Amino acid sequence: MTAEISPGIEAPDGDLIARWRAGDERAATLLVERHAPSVARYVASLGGRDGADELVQDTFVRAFGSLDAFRGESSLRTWLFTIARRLVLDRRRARRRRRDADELQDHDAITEYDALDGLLAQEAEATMRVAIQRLTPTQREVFRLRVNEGMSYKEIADVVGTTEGAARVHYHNALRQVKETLHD
Amino acid sequence: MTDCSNVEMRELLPEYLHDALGPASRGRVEAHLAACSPCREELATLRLARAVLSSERTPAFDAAAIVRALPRPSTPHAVPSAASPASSPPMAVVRPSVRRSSTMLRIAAAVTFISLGAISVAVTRAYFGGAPSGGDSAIVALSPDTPAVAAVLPGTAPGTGERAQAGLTLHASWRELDDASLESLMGALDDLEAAPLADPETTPGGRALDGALSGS
Repeated sequence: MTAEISPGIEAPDGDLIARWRAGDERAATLLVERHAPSVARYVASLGGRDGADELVQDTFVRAFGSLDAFRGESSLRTWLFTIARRLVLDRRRARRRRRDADELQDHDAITEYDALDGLLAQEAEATMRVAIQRLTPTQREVFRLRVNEGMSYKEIADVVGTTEGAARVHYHNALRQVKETLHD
Repeated sequence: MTDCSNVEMRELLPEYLHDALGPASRGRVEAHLAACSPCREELATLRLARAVLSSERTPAFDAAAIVRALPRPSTPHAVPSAASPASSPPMAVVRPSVRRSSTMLRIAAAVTFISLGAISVAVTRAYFGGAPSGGDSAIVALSPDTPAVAAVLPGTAPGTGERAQAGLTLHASWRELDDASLESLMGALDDLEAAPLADPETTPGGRALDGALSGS
């Protein structure tokens, strides 16, 4: 990020939260602009592209509505991802109860990749998409959080609700499978 | 191609990719990359994966609508002095919930106090008999079936006495008693002072009153 985008854009999340609690609405705008895109992409990757805007909004509303419960032991981004993941799973369970198809995640991912295939100019990228698509949902989620979001195993474990060791194993299994697909 | 056996270096590659390493670690990784072909290839794979994942369409969202939907902070808090978020998280301020807990404690104490009072009144009434329905009620020992009571309380037939209950009973018509009857009744009540009131029908005082009223 660059400082010329907006004053205060480089302020730490904790400072912006404090400013928001002090009545500075601009601080909330900065936090939303900072984290909403990655939350939206994460929601979409979990199969929540349909209605992603609502899920993203609900994520922020819940996060800001319970700031007293957030002690800062994890980053705000990790906390937002954790809430977003829970909302996606809740919605998926609700749909499952209505006997909707249980292939929401894969279905959405395929749609997404199909839609983007026409935009791909390089074969390597297309192959990489296929490789990522072949991962199991858990492997794909962990791989995305590690590679695309740069999260540590601790952060991934907090978001996904698993252990650091399990997150590490999922990441390395995913990486190995991606390499195998690329070399096929 | 086989993976590099240097697990530590491989674990640092995603952080290196995100430029999240300190100068020392970054230097070590770069030195390792210069000599390790498998790690260079793995870094290239990670870079490609990140490019692909980052190029996915970001679902549309309305940032302004999100901000408008956010709950307002109930009480603006003072901005803490400049400190790292980890060492002094502003979210640790919990005064509103403390205030809420104090109010709830006071309400709980008041409810408990009122409940204990109500229970005490109920137990007292159960122990001493029926409660007076008003300030004009008279206290009459004996069952309303007792003929003497009917004689003393005009208009009260045996078995149909108002608030007919065994034990001490009340009657609203005490004003209609003549002086002699009242005197006799008060004298009989004096004899009741040592009588256990929980079981008036069998107390000596009760029989004494019966006798006094019957004999008058």
